[in-house]
Amino acid sequence: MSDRAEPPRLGVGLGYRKPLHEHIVDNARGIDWLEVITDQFLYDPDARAALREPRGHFPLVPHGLEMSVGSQEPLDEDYLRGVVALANLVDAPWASDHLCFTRGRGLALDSLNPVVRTVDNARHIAGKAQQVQDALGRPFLLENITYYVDMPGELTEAEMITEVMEHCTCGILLDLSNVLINAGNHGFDPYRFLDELPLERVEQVHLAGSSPAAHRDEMLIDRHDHPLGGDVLALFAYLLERCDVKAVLMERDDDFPEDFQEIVADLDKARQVVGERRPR
Amino acid sequence: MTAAGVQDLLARLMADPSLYPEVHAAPESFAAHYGITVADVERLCAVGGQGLLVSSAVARRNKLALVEGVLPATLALCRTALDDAALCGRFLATSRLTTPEGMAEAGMRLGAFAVRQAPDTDRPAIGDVVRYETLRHDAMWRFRERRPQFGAVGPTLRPGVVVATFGCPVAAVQRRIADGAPWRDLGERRTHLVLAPAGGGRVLVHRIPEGLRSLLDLCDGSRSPAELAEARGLSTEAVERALSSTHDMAITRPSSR
Repeated sequence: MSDRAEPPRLGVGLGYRKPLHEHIVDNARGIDWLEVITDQFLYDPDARAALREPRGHFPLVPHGLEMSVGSQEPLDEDYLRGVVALANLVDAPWASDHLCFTRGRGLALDSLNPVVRTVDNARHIAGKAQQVQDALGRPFLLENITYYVDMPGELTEAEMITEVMEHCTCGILLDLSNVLINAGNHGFDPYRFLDELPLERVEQVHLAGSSPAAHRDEMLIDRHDHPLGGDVLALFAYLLERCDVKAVLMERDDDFPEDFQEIVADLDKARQVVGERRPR
Repeated sequence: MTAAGVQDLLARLMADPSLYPEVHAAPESFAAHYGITVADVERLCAVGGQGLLVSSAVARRNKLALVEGVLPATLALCRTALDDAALCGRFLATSRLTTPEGMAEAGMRLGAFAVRQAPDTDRPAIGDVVRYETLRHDAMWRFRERRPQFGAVGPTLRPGVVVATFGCPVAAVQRRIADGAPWRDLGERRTHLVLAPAGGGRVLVHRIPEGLRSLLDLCDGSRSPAELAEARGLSTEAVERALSSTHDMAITRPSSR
């Protein structure tokens, strides 16, 4: 097992989305780093070559969708090789994916799905995450997902994340928006959830807003299509009083504003929270 | 609790949520199939329900958005016959749509269904539209393979370029179907197209005359412009003029010698 490397401090960044490219370049001074969706670059050499331009302005971190560390099958070695190649190409300080499964028994779900929460499964997942980190030669972070099925198991979600971290040297990418959506849908206290996590393993945070109208069958839906709300910023402030976070990233996946300054304003709000909070 | 079996059952229910009542009613048979206990099945059913419907709706939205970006007319045709849940369950459940191979696989299945469902009179045009969208996707990915060609004595098609003939004005028909607009008034017309990848995920589509199609069919690197002219009963100057245009349009490239 490789020793746990210390990721560098990156600041406040933005999820790179093609429709926002020109705005990102024009507003580079207000953005410290970019997170790119790995899968959009794995099969397209032109898209990879085009990363040279943003790489000239920003540190780039690949964030993937299909590592599927929670699948019971072995890792997809071709996919892993592609992720490693991309991380090397952009000289990424770390890479990330999700604590979930996206496929199983021949089915490809094209979505992030919750894992069964048992100690055995946590160890299995930790082993695969460690394998990814060892191949990358740089830190690998696992993100908590939004889930609409609260999977049965021995452990709570916080206990599951803790158990996985016990058995690997990877880090946590803590998506606070996902915490709030899950707390709303499954009836738990998001602040207490943070208290139950191994916060010293949180290296990066995701912040996003979802439209209040985004509901389906009375469940809140994760859309990343709205400016940051006060609730996620308050949770972020609470987190920063308890741990040192190397990087925070604002995600906007849909319903892009006509005026990019709306996104700049969100970055400024996140930066303000960072500036005002110090770990106790 | 067996993680593998429970997750596999969840995956199955996500791909086909119509199975949920069956699982609820007969947990024993599903427990046996997935190598888990009846208690595991019942626990999953107890927490599933609404969350399962939402999860599968989210997954379906993701899958269909990916397909719509690549095969919009093929999808639109399939949607006239089946709802989204049935489409995903029958044709998309095993394809990793974020990969070119997965999308190609899905395209073949959806395309075959679209053609089967079409009335007899529409079938030739529908077949053309499905083939057109498939070739367009194929052109994009073959371009990315970038196989070098050595020792060609004459012009060749550039990597990824596809030349195809259709029985209708297929690009216009495809657009109308994708937009949900009437299309039968476009009628039949023998149409020759070149699909040329342009980088950045784009494919340029050029309509070409029959004569140029016939010339491009021979551009496999084995014939000089003079030999092409002789084979097609044209002057060498005419062939060189035509090839100069196709070189400029990044459809062909001259000999590598």
